[in-house]
Amino acid sequence: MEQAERENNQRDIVDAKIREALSLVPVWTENAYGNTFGWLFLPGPERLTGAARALAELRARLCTISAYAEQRDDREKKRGIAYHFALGGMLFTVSVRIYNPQTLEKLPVPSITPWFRNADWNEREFKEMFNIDIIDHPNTRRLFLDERLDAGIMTSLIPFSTLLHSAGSQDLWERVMAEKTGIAPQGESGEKIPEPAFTPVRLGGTVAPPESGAKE
Amino acid sequence: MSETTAPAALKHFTLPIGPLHVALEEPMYFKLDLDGERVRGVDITAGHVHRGMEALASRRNFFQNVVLTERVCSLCSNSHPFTYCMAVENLAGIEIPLRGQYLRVMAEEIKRIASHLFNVAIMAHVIGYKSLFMHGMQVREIVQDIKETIFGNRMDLAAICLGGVKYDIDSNLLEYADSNLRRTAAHVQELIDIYRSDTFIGKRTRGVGVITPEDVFRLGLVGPVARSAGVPMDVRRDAPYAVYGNLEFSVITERGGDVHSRAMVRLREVAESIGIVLQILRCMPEGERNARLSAIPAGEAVARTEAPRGELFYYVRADGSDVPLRLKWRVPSYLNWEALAVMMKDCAVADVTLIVNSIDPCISCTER
Amino acid sequence: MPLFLKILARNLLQGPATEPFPYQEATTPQRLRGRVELNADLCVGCGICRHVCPGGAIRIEPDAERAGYSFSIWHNTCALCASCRHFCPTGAISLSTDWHSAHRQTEKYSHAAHYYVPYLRCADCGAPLRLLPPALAARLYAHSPVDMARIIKLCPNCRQIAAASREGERYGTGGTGK
Repeated sequence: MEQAERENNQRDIVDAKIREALSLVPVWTENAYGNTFGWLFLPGPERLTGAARALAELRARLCTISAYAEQRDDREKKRGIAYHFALGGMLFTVSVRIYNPQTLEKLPVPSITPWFRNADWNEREFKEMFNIDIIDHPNTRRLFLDERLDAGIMTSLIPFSTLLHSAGSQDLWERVMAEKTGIAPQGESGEKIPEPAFTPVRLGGTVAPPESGAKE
Repeated sequence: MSETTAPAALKHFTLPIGPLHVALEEPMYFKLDLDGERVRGVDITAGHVHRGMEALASRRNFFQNVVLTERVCSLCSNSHPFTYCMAVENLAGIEIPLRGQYLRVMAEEIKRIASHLFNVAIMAHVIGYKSLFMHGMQVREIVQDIKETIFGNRMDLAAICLGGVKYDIDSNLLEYADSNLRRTAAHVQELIDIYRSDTFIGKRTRGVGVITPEDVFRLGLVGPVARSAGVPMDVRRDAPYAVYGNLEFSVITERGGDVHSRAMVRLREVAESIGIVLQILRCMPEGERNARLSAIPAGEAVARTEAPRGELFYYVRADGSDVPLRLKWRVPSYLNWEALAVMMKDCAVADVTLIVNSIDPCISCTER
Repeated sequence: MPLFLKILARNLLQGPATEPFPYQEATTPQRLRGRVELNADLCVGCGICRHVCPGGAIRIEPDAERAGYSFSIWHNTCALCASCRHFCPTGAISLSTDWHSAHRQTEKYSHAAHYYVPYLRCADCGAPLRLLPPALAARLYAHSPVDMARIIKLCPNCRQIAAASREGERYGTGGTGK
């Protein structure tokens, strides 16, 4: 089909450009609808600007940037960032490892705003949510979080998630089941039943340890 | 507080708009630098409805996240689970049966019709054309009834699930949808004529909040905002997913790049979407709706769709367990916010809310 | 403006577009997703509903004597997403059209539905089990020569043993179960 042919051409152009600019080989995949996806892994942040320049020259559009932890509940160490670009009908993802694999030391990331103006919000977001350092960002003001909160606080804010998650928590269910058998602490009005405990967040960056509310 | 005389001090001032405002459905804070009636600078403060939903998503299993993503926002509540499921299905290599794909697209387009009608009605509200606002909302009400009758809810359709869809339609509902969509189409044609020719609407919206195709590329704008400036960008056409490749529809563009063009793009897209659903009702094949599910392997995948506001993007990273390691999404409004500074440059104060509404911003989507 | 005046006149002639609720019942479509209900006869206790429920609104708990299990739905954390209905293999879960969910603060924990699902006993070993709904069993065993009526009254363990001895008889291998 015409669509497939166009994408094949485009894939070859991108492939050649990446090989030439970075001496790296992208991986290509396809989904059930015939959409093409390119994947490139950068072992460190130093070649990121080169990749950004090459993709900008191809007239790529930055879709978004996703910071992630390589392992579950790894609060600070093995972080990576995936930069997602659209080139016509194709999506091209550049994943960057941003720690030293030997020492696990965190590495700062260069801003790609000189090539992609809309990286601004994305970079500010991962800076405040994941506490990732950015070099040469034009506007380091907070995007979502209040200035008084520590960067990366969302990763340690499990108690807050627990609060949201508490809809199905053990704690609440015990009350529902107690009402069923009639052993609930019944006052004249429901206000007397104590609310489930959750951990308050104090501005200034201190987070109280989770208490009994965080069961699930 | 300086030495300037009283008239000069009144000429330059800062005007806060929001976070709560009559023309903004959701909280956003704008600080405007004014020179008399003219806006010289815009400063946006976000974060009022940041709920940490991405963190929540990495603590719930793949099934639960379908519904979590559906609750990100109500207006594009079908696009979120649709794109999320596509990302997971891309990762696991799951192929959806044809009927399931048609049903997914049908839900998506019905939501687009209601979403666009809502936005253009609100535009009439913002410019003080209350009777047109009421009429627009009443036209949308037909679509709300379609949603409630076929899916069981006016906003959250619960149509999408991993591997396919949770709903089906029989011949009665097919006939019901067909006749009501035709009724809607007649109203929409009337609305298009009014929005195009009404002098009051024209005076208030033409030439207001202008962006150029160059702005679209520079800021990475998407959806009706991009198309209003003549950039024919539409994921349904650029990277066809589900059965969009089998369906006939036009990518609507306008030339003006102003508030009026954006309303016209949306209204004309409503007509296109009605056309898409009518095609689906005619040509949807019988058969299975759901694929057999397999385990979600470790790895990463992306997916994108054309939501009512533009390109919606999902990234999923899994470690082989039934809970995603990372789920990240980027909504169209996230990109389109940046356009506001360009659109509002040197506009009149009275046009600020009109311009904000014209990008059809979704704040609960943007902040997650 | 003249175009819209025409519509305005038409709308005026048509009269109110809203329903006179509460003086009259509101229109409720048959598919409206309201309160979740369980048909305890069909429930086999597989727990897929609990697994897919985004709000954790379903709780399944065996009783102390292992005579059955309780099945509870807490309406206050139910998102009405119908995932439980979709994934239920026996069709035991349905959504009613009842959308009247307003209740007092004092009733927040009692705004729930509690069901009790008794176990049957395995015909061979007496282990607790839930019977497959006959309609589903008929579908599963549609192309099998096996006596369905007996096999569904066995626990998974005894069913395996029965299958092994059956195969053993057929191939004369003594029935090692392979």
